[in-house]
Amino acid sequence: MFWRKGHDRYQGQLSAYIDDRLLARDRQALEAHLESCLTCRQALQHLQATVQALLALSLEEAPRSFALRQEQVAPRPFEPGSRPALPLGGLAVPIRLAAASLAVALAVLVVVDMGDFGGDGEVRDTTPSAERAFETGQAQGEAPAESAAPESSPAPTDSAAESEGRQTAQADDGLDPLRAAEIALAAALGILIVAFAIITLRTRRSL
Amino acid sequence: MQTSADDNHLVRRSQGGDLEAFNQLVLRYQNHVYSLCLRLLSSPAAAEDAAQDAFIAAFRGIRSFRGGSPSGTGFRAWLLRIAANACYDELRRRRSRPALSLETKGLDPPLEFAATGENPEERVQRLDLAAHLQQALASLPFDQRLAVILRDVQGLTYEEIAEATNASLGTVKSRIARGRAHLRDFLLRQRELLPDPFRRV
Repeated sequence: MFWRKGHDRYQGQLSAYIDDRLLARDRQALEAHLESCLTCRQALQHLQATVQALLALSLEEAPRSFALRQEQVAPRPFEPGSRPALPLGGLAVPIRLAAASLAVALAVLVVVDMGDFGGDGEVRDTTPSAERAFETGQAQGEAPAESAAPESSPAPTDSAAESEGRQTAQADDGLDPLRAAEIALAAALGILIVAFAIITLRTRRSL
Repeated sequence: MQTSADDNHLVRRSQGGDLEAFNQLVLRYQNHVYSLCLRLLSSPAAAEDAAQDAFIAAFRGIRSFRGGSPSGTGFRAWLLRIAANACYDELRRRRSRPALSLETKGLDPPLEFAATGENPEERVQRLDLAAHLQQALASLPFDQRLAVILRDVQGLTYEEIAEATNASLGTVKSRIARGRAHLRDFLLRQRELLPDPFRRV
């Protein structure tokens, strides 16, 4: 058993021995072993014959010149990052449109919000005065009936009146720009999310 | 093998984008690169593709070559490393597309030894052994095959192989030893088919 282990160890050193990569003491020990071990001597001879055969394999001559042409080394579209292009396929146009819509919607939102024209202010302005009073009263913690509800127009207390007021406002001014921007924003976001989901699936399939 | 002064000059010019200088390096080393690809892939057509890919990749990445640094390896070892990577990619591509499998050795001309004024019988023996050796090489795991080819066919030192394969010296030594032992056992199993010199051993 111990003899076998030593035997394997020596055979494992034969390759390094051929290349003269053994430490001096290991080389001396191996050479001493080889003198007394026919199996290891034969293994060394076989290994040397194998290496000789490999050394005799010539360098193959290239079948043609591999010199490069300028067009072969032209910069790739994504250099220097060299990331491959996303497989957009037929989604390129919808994605561009969605991105453009998103940018426009965001711009409208910012302008409307900062300028405070259109949007909530206008709707409140065109809401019937009773409703304004109702909202004001609620805000001040007073009962709506006790507030300044004019006698000539009974206070509308349900949501129908509120929506009626909003519809009136929209009918007067056309489409609320804030609302339009919100819709465009939501649509653009939706298109982008769907597009990126499809791209992700395609990318995973192509890997 | 150290990068020669002439190589260094051409490398520096190539790093500045000089394609003509790089092509001089290509002509100097294309036999080494093609041979490595051929031994690794066992197919002249695949080797040609891999070699071309390797040179393109080398030109694109030559700015990262640090041949002048103390730890830097020679240009040939650096180039062979890129070629080995190209071959590995080619093998992976072909594994994922069985229609492109390299198991078409019968279609390829046999890989040859260096011929030195041999007679017809010696030529037949030489081609026989070359074919067996190539078959034996193809049966090795990629890492062992690469280490054995770099050492015994390309003649790189252990240190250069370590640089070229990004492995430690101990790993290189072990891969070469295991690869050679595997080749020896493979050839011994077919001893009766081999030429006299090997049978006598």
